[in-house]
Amino acid sequence: MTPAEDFDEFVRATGTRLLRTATLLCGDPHLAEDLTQTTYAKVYVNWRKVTRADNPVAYTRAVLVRTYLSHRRRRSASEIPIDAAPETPGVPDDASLRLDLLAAMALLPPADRAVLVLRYWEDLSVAQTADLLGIKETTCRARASRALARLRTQLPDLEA
Amino acid sequence: MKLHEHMSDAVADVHTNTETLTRTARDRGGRIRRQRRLGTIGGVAAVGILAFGIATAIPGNDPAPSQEPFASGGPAAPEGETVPIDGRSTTAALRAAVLEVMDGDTTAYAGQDDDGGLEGTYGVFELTPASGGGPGVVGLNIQHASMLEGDPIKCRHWMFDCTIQDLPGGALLRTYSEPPEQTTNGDGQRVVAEYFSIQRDLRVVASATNGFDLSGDAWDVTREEPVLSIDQLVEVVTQEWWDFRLPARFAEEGAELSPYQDVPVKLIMTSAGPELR
Repeated sequence: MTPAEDFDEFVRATGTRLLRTATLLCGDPHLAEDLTQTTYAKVYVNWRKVTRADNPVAYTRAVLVRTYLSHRRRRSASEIPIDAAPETPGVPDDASLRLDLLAAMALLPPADRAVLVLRYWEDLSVAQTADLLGIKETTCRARASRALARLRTQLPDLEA
Repeated sequence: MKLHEHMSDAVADVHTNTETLTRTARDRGGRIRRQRRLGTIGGVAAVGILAFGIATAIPGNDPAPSQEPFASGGPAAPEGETVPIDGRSTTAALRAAVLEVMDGDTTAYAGQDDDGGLEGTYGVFELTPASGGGPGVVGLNIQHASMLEGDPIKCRHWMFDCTIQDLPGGALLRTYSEPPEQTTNGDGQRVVAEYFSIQRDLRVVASATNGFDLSGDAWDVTREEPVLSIDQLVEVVTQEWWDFRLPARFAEEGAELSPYQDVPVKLIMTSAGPELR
């Protein structure tokens, strides 16, 4: 198999999963597609190295998350700081007002979203998540706890 | 309901068109690769932005720079009658620098006078060492270092065996190998040496290959090692005559180069970054 065929096979095997991760991270299907394409483009550039890595899937996931966070940093001026966003007290009586998961996660800071996606979608450990994000494990736990608490205001039946 | 279940439900109907995804990824990745390569030997200065400072090496490679200062100190402003650089004079000067470090035959010359509005030239040719083995490609780019502003010069994650040395006068010398491209007839390899002087606003970067880098992932590998070693490339980029005006003899020698192809390059800025057309 040539390197190009090898890469194509890798994308076929991992593409849907990576797009789903991107969707959970950003909540926007178009942005998720762009992030996924950008990630695979970066992986393709370094394909020789990636194939020699212990875990090419983990490498690709790390590229996606960092690409997403970098994108969010560049757009940070348009984002409402979470501290300034009003919390929704209790559970809305009208079910139609209850936000779905993506909308609820969109209210979280990007770094908190990344922690939740890595911990609860990708099933990474606290140590793995902290390492990927370049934060302390205590910070990782605190962010996850805070983010879960905020999600529960929108999704009261949520369990971690 | 567990968060993982919520997440699964939220993206259950998300699917990708893998054919489109692979094609797009390879197109964009291929452009990035070409931009990087032309940033080392070509006249497009938009790949990477660099400034001067102490650099750090990637893990596993040599540590921070400031090894033994390079003896010769690198290029100095040329004396005597000089002419402005262009593609032909750059190529002729490169040929002269190469033939000072090895014997061989050179042909298939090409160069660039005007890199789409950005200052700088490049020259490139095919070299077959007299010591044996197949031909490879040697290229050199002269640019203003001031257009590469921002990040300190350092060893990037894609630079294998990267080293950075201090040179007299505050200049820096960086050398590295690009990740080899595995093909059915061997690994395509490119080695690079770069000279930077903020004082002289000068960047000279040279590279050598062990064959021909074709489109996409294809290489025509003709030999095991690049036609010039890193040490030889260092001698080339630290040749005393490199500047934006070259000794007049290189204009004369450049006029006689044959076959010679002028390679115009136009830089287009797109939303995905700089692109060559």
